[in-house]
Amino acid sequence: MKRLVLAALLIAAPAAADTVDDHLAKVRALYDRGDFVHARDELLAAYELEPRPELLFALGQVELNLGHFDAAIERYERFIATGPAADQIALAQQAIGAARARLSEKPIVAPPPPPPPHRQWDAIDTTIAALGGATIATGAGLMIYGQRLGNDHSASLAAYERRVTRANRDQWIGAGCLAAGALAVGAAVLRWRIHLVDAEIQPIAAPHTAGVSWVQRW
Amino acid sequence: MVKRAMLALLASVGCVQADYQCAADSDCNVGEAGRCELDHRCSQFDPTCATLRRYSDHSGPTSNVCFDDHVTPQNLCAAGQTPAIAEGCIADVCTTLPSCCETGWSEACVQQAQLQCSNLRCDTRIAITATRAGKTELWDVRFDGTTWTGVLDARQSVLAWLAPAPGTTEPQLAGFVSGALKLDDRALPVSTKHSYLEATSVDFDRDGRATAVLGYTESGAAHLEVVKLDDGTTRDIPAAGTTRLSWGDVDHDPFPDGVAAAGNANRYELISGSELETHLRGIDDRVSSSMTGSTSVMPTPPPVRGFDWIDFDGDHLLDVVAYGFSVDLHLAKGGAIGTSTLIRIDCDPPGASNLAGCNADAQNAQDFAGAALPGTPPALIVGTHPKRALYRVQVGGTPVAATRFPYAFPAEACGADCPPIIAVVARDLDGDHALDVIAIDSDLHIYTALAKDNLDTAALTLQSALQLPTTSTAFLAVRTSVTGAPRATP
Repeated sequence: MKRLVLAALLIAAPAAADTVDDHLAKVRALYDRGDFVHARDELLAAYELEPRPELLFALGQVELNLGHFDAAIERYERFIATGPAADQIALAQQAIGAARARLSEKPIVAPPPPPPPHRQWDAIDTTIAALGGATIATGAGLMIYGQRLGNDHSASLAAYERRVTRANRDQWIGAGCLAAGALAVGAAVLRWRIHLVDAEIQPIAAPHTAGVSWVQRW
Repeated sequence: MVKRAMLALLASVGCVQADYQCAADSDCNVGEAGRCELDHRCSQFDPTCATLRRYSDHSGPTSNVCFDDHVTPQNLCAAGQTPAIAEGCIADVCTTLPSCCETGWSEACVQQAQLQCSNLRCDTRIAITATRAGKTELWDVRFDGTTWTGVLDARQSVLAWLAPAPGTTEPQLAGFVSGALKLDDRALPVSTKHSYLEATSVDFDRDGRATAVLGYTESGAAHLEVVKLDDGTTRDIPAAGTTRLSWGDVDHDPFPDGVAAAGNANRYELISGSELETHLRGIDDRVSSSMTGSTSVMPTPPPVRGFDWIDFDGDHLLDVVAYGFSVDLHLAKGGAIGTSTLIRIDCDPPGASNLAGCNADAQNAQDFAGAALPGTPPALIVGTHPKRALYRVQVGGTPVAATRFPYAFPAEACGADCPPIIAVVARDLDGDHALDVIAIDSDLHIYTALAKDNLDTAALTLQSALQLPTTSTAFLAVRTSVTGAPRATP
């Protein structure tokens, strides 16, 4: 409807000078292509040559299309102030209402892109790794103790035999501890490697809604 | 860096490689009759092993392996060592005489090695213990391939060559002084209450340790004393025979056996090594024999002069020869050497037949010396007493007969009154792999008959080798202990 109003104004406008008509011809072409910035420039140039009231209305339309709602309202009010016909005043006031409605709308804040998933070494990992390390240390200690026990050739063969039996037992336990500790440390590392998280508070802003969200992903 | 540290840790902790090192038998208190071996590992009694011993658990790579003391002798010229490993020319020796690789390296093994090992040339060392009433002289006589030497030894009684210590080549000259067995470089204390008569080397316990077996009497009772030369420990074994102790193989088991005279008499005992209930080695000397000669008119027969071991019948088993009132040859037949004789040589000139018809006075006066001469055919070298004569006696035929071949002595001023031969030794003196004869008379004059000079048995001759500068004459007995060491020069 606004395009029809603008077309009517332009067609109805008398040809005051060649230059004004030239500008208006360009305005029509630019408007059809949606190039409202240059269309506004051409209208301003025409208005400089000849300040016709209907050019103010056309400028209001162009500003409206450019989203310059305040400027559009200002152009429409200046057009009404020139005392046009009642139907044209009604059109201008309808356009002012539309511009004001658009002004009241808040822009939707686009949410920031989610951060890339990242690894997180947490307290559980630390606890598992620490327990594993302690178990490895215990196992190594038992292995070394068993070795020293087995290398102790003092006293008789019977005593040595008892020591070797104990040493073998200790070394088996030590080997078990080493294996268990290594598994625990490995588990902690594995848990850290696959524990991908992007937990954060994300604001949500949209017409008629607002809030925050907690997002965590494994 | 971390990887290296981890590897070092793993290497250092590894599994326990149980390898117990003992220092004494008392350390080996697992199993039956634990013993600490030379390699400082424990063994225990196990009747399934040839040596009756098996390494205990925790003995490193030898754990639960039968104990074996076979070695490659460093000195094939010396008897009294552990059984040899059958390799090289020793394998040939052990084919001829399996006991050399199964029981011990005896005098018979040395003789076989001199015959069969083409690279073996030994010097010859004879420890002489010469006795007469109230007089004992000890002589260290040696032949280096060229020259004979004799040195009077200052020790008091019984000079004998002991085997080289394990892993060494030099035999050890030993003799008794008051309260000690004096070796070349040290003295082992012995009891002053014992009257020591013999010192021999033998691997009596089959433990591979340097072991001497000494014969002694105490208050009239005879004993053998087993001495471990490495640590000086000793143990006594009651025995009926302790003099003229000689080692060989009686019962064909893996342990060495011996033969010894019972005191200063004509009876001799076969000494079979046996396992006691305590699993220490003892002896079974229940088998004895006497050289009664062919007549027994003499109230006190002369004592045994010596023994020899030789495979006389080619069955690869050692037979034993006893020299004294007669010459008795006992063959190894069946399970062990027994009292039956293959042949008895008596009379003057010595023979094996028609003994009943020989002159009784001559027969009763005899106290033969001799030595076995292995070869093809084997022979005995027999010296008569009191009249000087030396014969090679070959025994064979069916029925068994003795054929004698006399040795001619060099011309000497003593003529018909020259002293008799009272000790004979058979060794390869000149390195031609044939056994030569060394004869020693009662004035300690040493004669030799080289094999290369005596190929014709009809013209055997002796050469004077050395007159020991003794201040005494007419010794009644000469005990020889023979050894040697490899020599480089031909």
